[in-house]
Amino acid sequence: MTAAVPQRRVPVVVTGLGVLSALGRGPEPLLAAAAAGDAAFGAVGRFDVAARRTRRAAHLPGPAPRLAEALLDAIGDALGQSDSGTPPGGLLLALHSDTLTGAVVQEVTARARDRHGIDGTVRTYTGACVASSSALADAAAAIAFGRAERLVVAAGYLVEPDTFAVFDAGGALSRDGEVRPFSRDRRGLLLGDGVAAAVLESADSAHLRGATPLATLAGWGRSGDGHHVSRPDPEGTGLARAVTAALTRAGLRPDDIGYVNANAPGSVLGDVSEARALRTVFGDRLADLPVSSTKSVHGHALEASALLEFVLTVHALRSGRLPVNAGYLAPDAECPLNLVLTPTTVHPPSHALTLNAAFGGANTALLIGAA
Amino acid sequence: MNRAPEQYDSNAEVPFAPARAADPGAARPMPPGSERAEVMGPRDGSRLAAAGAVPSAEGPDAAVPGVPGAGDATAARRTEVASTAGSRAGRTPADPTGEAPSVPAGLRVLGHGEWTGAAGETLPQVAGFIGSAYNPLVVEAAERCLRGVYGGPEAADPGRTGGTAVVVGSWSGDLGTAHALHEAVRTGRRVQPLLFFQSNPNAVVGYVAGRWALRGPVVCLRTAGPGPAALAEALDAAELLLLDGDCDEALVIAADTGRTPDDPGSAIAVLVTADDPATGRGAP
Repeated sequence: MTAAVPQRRVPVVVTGLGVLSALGRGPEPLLAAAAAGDAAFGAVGRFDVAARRTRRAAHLPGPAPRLAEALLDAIGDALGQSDSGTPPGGLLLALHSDTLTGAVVQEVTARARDRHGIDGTVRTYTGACVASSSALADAAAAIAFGRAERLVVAAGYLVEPDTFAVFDAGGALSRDGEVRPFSRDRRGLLLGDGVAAAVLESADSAHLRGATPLATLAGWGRSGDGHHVSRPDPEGTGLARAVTAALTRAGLRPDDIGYVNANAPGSVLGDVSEARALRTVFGDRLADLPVSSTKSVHGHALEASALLEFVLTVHALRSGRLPVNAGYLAPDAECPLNLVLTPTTVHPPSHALTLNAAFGGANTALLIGAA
Repeated sequence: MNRAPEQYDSNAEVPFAPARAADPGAARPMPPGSERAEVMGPRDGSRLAAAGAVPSAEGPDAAVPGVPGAGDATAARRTEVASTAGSRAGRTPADPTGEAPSVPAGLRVLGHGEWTGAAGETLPQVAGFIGSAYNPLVVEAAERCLRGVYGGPEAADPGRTGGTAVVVGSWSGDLGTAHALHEAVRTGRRVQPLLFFQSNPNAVVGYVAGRWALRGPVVCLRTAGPGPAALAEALDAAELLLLDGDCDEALVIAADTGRTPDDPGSAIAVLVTADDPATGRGAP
């Protein structure tokens, strides 16, 4: 029912990544925790949670960093890795929409211009759990169609009292203080700090600059369930369409995928919907396709989570060290997946997927290829 | 999805937030809207005539848009549940004399609708959404646009709606909800569980998409400027989605809550498709 997805025109590569999570700054502590399945959740110490039913999250110790500062650090780290010579042509941000959003956008824009020469567009995505994956997909599309050579995508969410309170009031936070994606007795999500940035550019641009690609963004897909305000389509048909669109754009088949970083926040309904989407796309292949949700380790960083998971998936592809699906108790017959439950190193796969789904039935799939 | 009956008494539920004197957004200088360059847009440079509209020197956070001040009886009345669910069915879809907004090259307008609050109209409430004018604004503009195209959800062509994206641009964002939540947390009051479901701008898109079976991508943007600038930015995003092929049509909505308690704001919705003779896409 959707338009024919054209093949991408210009290959898009990832040349820089920056990340801050509850585990600390840089990819190493995050990768180590994900590879070991060491969840980062602890008692919330950043603000008062005495009135909340759930009192745990994955946040950095001490007071919260300033979000704009953390975003600028992540952007700087990503551009540093990208070996920047030419300033990027624009900045796509993904942020929670609240009373501070405008001020954060303005500060990051102005300082990124001064510090890194990023002039031009700032587009700010606020679409919940697919905000940063939508930004990545749009950046890739703009590059693929020759509208930009090099773009920075940055996203940030730091655990704060308002969202914590409303997620608690809405019953979304796990009452047992752990996140257990696809597991029996999963109880919901926990919030986590996440600030990340990625530099995307055309393969030609990277080649001409002499930059070394970390990975390719080989395909992407976006879809909507057209189903409900907050509940996913139970059959996961929307998410399956997003995955199919990503495969088509990349010119690949399901058999080419060697790892899936799932969206699964540990929610009762959402995890089942995603498992069914994966069944629709991969069929019997699911039996040996490694799948994990790293929200079980770093928590749900809302608008930034997809970019955090993108960073982890790129590194999983490069190293062959697959992130562990932590918090797992026992199988749920509704989620028959080949979950990564123990530290696992494989021959680095050629391609991996990272999936995200959000309120409003929004779905995205990003298909990452080895550089 | 059928429209559910009104089930919530929004007045009873919502902790209306007074304007915060120390609102961090209040000091926000002019957003980078008027100097927005176009990395993502078509290279032919064709833009909305009004895209360069310069936002006010005060950011949208300066007031408490869509949330009446405490004790403001007039404003409080404006947020009462203003219509029954059924009343929407008899509503005039779109102003038949209204001109379609101009769109960038590469797009063609299939329908449009807007809500400006003209002639003393009251913004219909939306079941399950409380307090803020933002969500009713998005829904009303979308309804007027889609009713003008299809007549009603039952008459919508699933072959078209199945490939229709929804892109919402807003300068103000849903500050009514954000302020209500912030005040509840700040003062230690109970946080309304319903606020969870509207705590991000995707939720109301899910409402519209479910009602009309729109199954293309869902994108929400906080834009660099209000009104025409918000629409222009959302149209840019939609144009790329159409070019990229994840949808055949896009319902593009710009919604901004008002700057004072008496002003619920305005919203416009435009249904667009690609107008590209080279690919044949966008053909009627």
